[in-house]
Amino acid sequence: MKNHDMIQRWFHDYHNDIYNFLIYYLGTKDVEDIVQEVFIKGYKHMHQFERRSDPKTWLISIARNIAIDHIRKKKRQQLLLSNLLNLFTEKDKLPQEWVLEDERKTELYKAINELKSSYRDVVIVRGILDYSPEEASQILQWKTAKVNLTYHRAIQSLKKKLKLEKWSDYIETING
Amino acid sequence: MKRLTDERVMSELKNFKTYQMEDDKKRLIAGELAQLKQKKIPFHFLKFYKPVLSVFVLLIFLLSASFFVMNQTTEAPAGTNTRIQSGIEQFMNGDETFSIKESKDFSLKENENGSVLFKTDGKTVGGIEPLNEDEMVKSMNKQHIFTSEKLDSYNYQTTFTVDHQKTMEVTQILHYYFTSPNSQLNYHVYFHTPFFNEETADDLARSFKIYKDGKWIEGTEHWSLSTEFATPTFAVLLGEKDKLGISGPDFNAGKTDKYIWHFFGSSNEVETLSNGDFKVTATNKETGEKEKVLVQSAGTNQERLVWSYDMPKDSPLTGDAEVGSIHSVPSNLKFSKPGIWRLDAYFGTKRFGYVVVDVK
Repeated sequence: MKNHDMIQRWFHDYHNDIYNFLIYYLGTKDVEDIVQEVFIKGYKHMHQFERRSDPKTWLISIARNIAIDHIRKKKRQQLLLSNLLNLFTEKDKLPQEWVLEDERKTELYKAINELKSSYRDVVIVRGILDYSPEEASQILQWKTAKVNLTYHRAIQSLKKKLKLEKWSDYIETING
Repeated sequence: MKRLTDERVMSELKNFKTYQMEDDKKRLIAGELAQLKQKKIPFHFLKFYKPVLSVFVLLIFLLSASFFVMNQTTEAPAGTNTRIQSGIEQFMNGDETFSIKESKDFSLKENENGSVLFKTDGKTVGGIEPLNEDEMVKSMNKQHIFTSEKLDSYNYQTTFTVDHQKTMEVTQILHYYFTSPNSQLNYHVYFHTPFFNEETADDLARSFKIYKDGKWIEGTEHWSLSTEFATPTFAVLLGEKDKLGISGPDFNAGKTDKYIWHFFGSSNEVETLSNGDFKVTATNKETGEKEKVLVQSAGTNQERLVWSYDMPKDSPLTGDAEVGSIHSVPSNLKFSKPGIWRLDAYFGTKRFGYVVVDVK
């Protein structure tokens, strides 16, 4: 199959995986442009793709790199804008302010965003998006053992944060 | 009370909603991807435009930098041609020469570089050296200047300074800087006191002449005829307004006439006026010779020409209310021949000013 047809096939198969990853990674639903960017980049770097690995995780790892670039760019722009124009008198619109359907989920998502970046990455990939440790290891380009250990630590850290925010009581009243 | 367990957190995490991309957005992106083949070339261009641009900018920067450096290096040798020459160099390369009145009191020793030293008994008592503007300023800066004034009554534009030395041989050095009207040169003529005094130095300084190609350059401005001016009291005098003026008949050669000198000014002038004898030197423009024109005992058989009228130092000034002067001196003047004459008026050794008159 030619690269050209391949990328369209991949798009058809995996667009929602990329879409969801970007939504949770960037904390906004306005990610269609970046989805397109991911596939275009995937197409251009097709020759770097190892046939043995899973195209889905490969594309998500590309999406992650692009998303990191976007976050940096956004930060820089916000810094510039707030410096130059002083427009952002209220707090910068960080991803945390993105409102999910469920208030409890919003709290949880906020807590995730407060984690350090490696914890946050692994929680999004392993937890929210529910990828297997092997898939996560390909996406994050970590060893599987590191994925597991980091995920475990991230959960501990997250638990601590949630306890501090009385989320445990909350979860009990709902579930209990 | 249930504990918050890892499992609960994890299951909660897995409960996040999974989104579906909207169909029209999906189709849009699929369409874009289908066109990727055609877009390949522009993408290649886009991929390279940043490095190409930066290389371009770098090249421009390098080019301009190298141009700048080249200009600098080419300017440097050019600069040596236009470099300001020292006064000596200018003098040696120029077409000017100078002269000063010879005197039997000292001898002139000419150096190879064109400067001159005044020698007496093997000691240096003065000299002349050509300087450029910078050297003149430097020369003045290293003096312990007692007085410094711009004088306008010499042949050339003059700066006069008195430099206190207080060494065994030298008390003061009197410096005259004559600016050549013709070139960038300044001639530094200096006299050591007490070998010279202000009067002898001044006399010699006045005899200093600059020649271009062997031709004497006259300090033109000091030979323009004095004009008549009106005092605040509506008297008409010949001379320089607010400085000095002469009242009297027209000037005729060989005839003694009475003229009154009127002097104007304030404290500085008063000081000059109180210096003693009133002296007038008349310089003929044609010959450059100095002559006596003051007549003593006019109308008597003891009539004779003198350099000065005796006048005691600090004698009271006699201002003339009719012309508003601070001091007025009557005199009899007689010129030996017709022509343009410059009359320099002195009190003691201090020169007050001059008038240039046309004698018929």
